[in-house]
Amino acid sequence: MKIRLITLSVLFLSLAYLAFLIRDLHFLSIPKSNPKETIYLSLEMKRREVERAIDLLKEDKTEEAIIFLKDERLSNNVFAKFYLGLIYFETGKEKEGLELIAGAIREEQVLYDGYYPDNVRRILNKISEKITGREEFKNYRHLIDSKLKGGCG
Amino acid sequence: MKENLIFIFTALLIGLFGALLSVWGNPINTGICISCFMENFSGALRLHNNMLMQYIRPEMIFIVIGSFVSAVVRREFITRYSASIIHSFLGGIFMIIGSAVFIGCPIKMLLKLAGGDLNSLAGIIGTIFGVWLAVRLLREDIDTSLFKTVIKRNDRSSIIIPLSVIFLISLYFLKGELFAESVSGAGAEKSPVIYAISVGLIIGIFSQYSRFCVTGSIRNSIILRKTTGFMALLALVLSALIVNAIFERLKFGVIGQPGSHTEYLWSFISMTLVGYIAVIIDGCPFRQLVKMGEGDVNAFVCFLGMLIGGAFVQNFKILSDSSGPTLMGKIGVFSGILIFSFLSYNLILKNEKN
Repeated sequence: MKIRLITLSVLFLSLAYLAFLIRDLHFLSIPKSNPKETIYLSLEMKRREVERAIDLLKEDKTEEAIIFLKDERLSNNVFAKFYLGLIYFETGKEKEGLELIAGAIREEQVLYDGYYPDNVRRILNKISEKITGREEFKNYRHLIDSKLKGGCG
Repeated sequence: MKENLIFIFTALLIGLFGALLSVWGNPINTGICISCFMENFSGALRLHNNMLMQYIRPEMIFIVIGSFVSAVVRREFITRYSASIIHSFLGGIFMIIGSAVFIGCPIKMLLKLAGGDLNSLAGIIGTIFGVWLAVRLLREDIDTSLFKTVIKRNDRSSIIIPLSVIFLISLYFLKGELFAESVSGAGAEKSPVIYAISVGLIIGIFSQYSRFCVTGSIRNSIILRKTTGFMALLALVLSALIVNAIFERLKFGVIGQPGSHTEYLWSFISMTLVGYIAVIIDGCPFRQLVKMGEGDVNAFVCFLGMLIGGAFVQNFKILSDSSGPTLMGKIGVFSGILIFSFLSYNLILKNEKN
């Protein structure tokens, strides 16, 4: 009887104290981590590293852009990989180009995510249109279209 | 007859709401996918660091709560367990790994088909084969003592399970900052909370009542040679297909399907593993949630396994993307096959010794 009373008392006391602590938790200020900032900043830094190459591409200076993008210091830059792939694709080395593009979008999902303002969705859509009906590139088209539609995986 | 109709009606509801949740904001063809939800859940608890897969899906939590409410009302809430704890825990881990390599749990597999994704057919065949293999094993003269359920009628200790879930979701609504939440990627694609809660509750209640399970439906069709299970799965696919057609989301084909790859052999093998495990531990990932709400301790252990599995899958990339499975994904699936072959062999061996 005594042990029953003690156990029940502990139960109700801990319940009451827990409710009290949760009320405190409600008023506690917890800085909400913002993954948006983390993703955006890391991606934006990488994009800025290759901005010169993107400008060169706009001026049709593909040779110079290739030299820029092949710099060893950019070996871990997903944008460098993507734009190098794009140049190869546009200049006839389609398979090589698509391989690099596929590698880039597999590596960094946010690259084509609608929320990132400097994403490469528009370019990917164009590439997909260009390879539609090309049997040898159907796996790349599947990858690009599937990724653009979103969802898990 | 009434039970069969409710069973089929539950499947119809899952298909209907599964497709609608995608229309309302969940990732495409992922209105209900317990493996994806578990990966989101372990991310929200900061067990993995993929910032695109972190969210406490209210649908999943309210499936458990709906099942709990139904079980209490129908006086079916009982503490029950069997000695096969290790099967349940490892089963939870490897069902998530198998599903991640296929990209979807058995329910999502059917929802993908209803969205026109014909790649999922390889997974469906794999699941049927896995269930058939497990049924063959169970028909053999094996030692089933491990799976014998112990029912404790006067023991209410398993009420801790649904209460923990209720506590967790209350904490989430009270202080969401405690948990990680994606702002981009699949984890950020979500239905309005009120829709998610309502759907979770409705499905949880009906599934507790009907005992609906995708792999269970296939198993019963094989064992009992009755068409109810098959009809239920057909109802699930058809209702989702109609919703997808109405909202112009139906596109038949194999190329460019969302959250899907064309490595059919791996889809087949990974879902064979999921189907096999689901029969051995008595329920697909969805059914485990419902059983957890009824006070089943093994289902809770399986849930913990799925939670760990969700973290493993994302931390070590034991999964697939649209280009197919990763090397770690292939290793994960064959580790599961190896472990469950060993456990199955042990059942046969034990009986021979007995």
